[in-house]
Amino acid sequence: MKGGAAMEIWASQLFNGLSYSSFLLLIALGLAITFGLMKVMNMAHGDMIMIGAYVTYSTQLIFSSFMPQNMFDYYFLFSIPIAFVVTACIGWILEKSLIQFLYNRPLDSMLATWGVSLILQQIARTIFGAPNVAVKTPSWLDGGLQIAAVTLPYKRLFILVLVGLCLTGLYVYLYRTAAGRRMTAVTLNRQMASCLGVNTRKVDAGAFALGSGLGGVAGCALTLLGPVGPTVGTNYIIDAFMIVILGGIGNLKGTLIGAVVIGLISTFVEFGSSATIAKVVVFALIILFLQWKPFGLISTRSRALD
Amino acid sequence: MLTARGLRAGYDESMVLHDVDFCIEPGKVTGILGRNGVGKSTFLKSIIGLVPLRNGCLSWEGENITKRKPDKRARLGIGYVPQGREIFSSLTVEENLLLGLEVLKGKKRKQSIPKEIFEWFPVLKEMLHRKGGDLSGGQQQQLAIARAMIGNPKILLLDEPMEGIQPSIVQLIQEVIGIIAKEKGIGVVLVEHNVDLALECSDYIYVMDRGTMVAEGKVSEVKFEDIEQFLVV
Repeated sequence: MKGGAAMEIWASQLFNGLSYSSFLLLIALGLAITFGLMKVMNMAHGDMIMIGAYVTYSTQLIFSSFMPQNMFDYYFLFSIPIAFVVTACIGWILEKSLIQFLYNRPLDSMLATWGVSLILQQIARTIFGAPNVAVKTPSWLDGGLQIAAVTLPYKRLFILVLVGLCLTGLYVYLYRTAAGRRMTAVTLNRQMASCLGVNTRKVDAGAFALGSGLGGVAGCALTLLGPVGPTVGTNYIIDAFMIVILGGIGNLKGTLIGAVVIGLISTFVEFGSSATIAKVVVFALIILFLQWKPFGLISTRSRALD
Repeated sequence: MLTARGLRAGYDESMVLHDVDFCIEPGKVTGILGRNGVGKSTFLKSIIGLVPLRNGCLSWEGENITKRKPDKRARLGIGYVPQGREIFSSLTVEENLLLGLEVLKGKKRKQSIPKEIFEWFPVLKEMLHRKGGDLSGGQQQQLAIARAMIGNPKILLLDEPMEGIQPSIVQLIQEVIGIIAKEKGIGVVLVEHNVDLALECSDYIYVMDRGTMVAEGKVSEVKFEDIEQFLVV
């Protein structure tokens, strides 16, 4: 019997770890595009998450006041594409008005996007007020799936599925469509891509919008896990950067592995100690790892660099 | 077709090209000869638009294109094969070739890669699903030429396409250059520092020295003695 109990704890910890990983991945996925592929130190990515979360909150308000009661439970499904579109538009405007002048100037782009981040937070504070707001979880996400003695909450399973869909969608877009191919070509070799007739400015704006939109989707998922406030994004921006750097800049596979590794390590260390210790251990491990492999888990090197 | 008048271009403070006059005819191979570092590659880059012009005028079928960006010039019908070949190494050969179709976007777009490409370069068909970066230098060169040709250019800029490549492939590339010019009526600009190869492939040659054209003429009429002083180190 004792062995069974230990198994249960391990199994539920493993699920918690994977669930945390999937949330981290969702946060990092957008940044993997804006920072990883486009090399923009995008400090405003956290605020795209924040905006996504507030869009979910607003959708909830609109549904509860204007829609029939029985529709309310489905607001969350609607809020995901809305959050994506809204944050993608904001990202597109940001790229056109600011970022496009700052390519190849990492320090300037970091400062500028940090400034944008502060502005966005203040706007959120002005509109929604400084206190946190709560998003009501739709009833179909309450409860959990019971497997043996382990309960898997539906919320976390939903996030797992959402991440899976985002990842698949992104993969298909990048590797199976002409638009994705253009984006890959521009990130690999901007000059050669333009010599082949690719309008690099259009591609840049599109890629930035895509990255921001994914941040918005992460914001939706965030509302399932906790309250929403104007500075909620800043809590996650460091994690997101950590994952992208650990995985290897400009590499989506690396970002996936990085998120899983960090998620599992923090969950298991946290189980044996406390949340603070877990943060310290994860940071220390990443620093050590980057001393050994400065380009991250997967570095993109090939014969072309001969 | 493409005419350059009084081009002046370079990087930041240092000007590489001075007062270059140049003209490309369809269906002819125009060779550019010169020692290393006289500005041959910079000249090609200024035609495709990677190096901005300081002075001078570039006109395409009578239209001034001096201010256009590279992607706009590519859409007009300028194909470019750079010196380092610049294959997208982590994309497959097929994806590299499909990128060649980008130029045709918005026009009656052919969705597929034309068959003649594989008739010219059969090795690309075998390697279709390999990563561009896995190819050897000679195969990458064939891929780069194929990629540029898929976009149906009216002129093709080739920057030392035969550099560091085994003789059998050099011969293949030479033959394809001939087909491109004679059968397809494309104006080919061939930068080459190997004098014999350049004279063998070209119909008309320019000789470049210190950033400007110092001699030009039909290959059949040019005397080696006249251009020797600019080519021998």
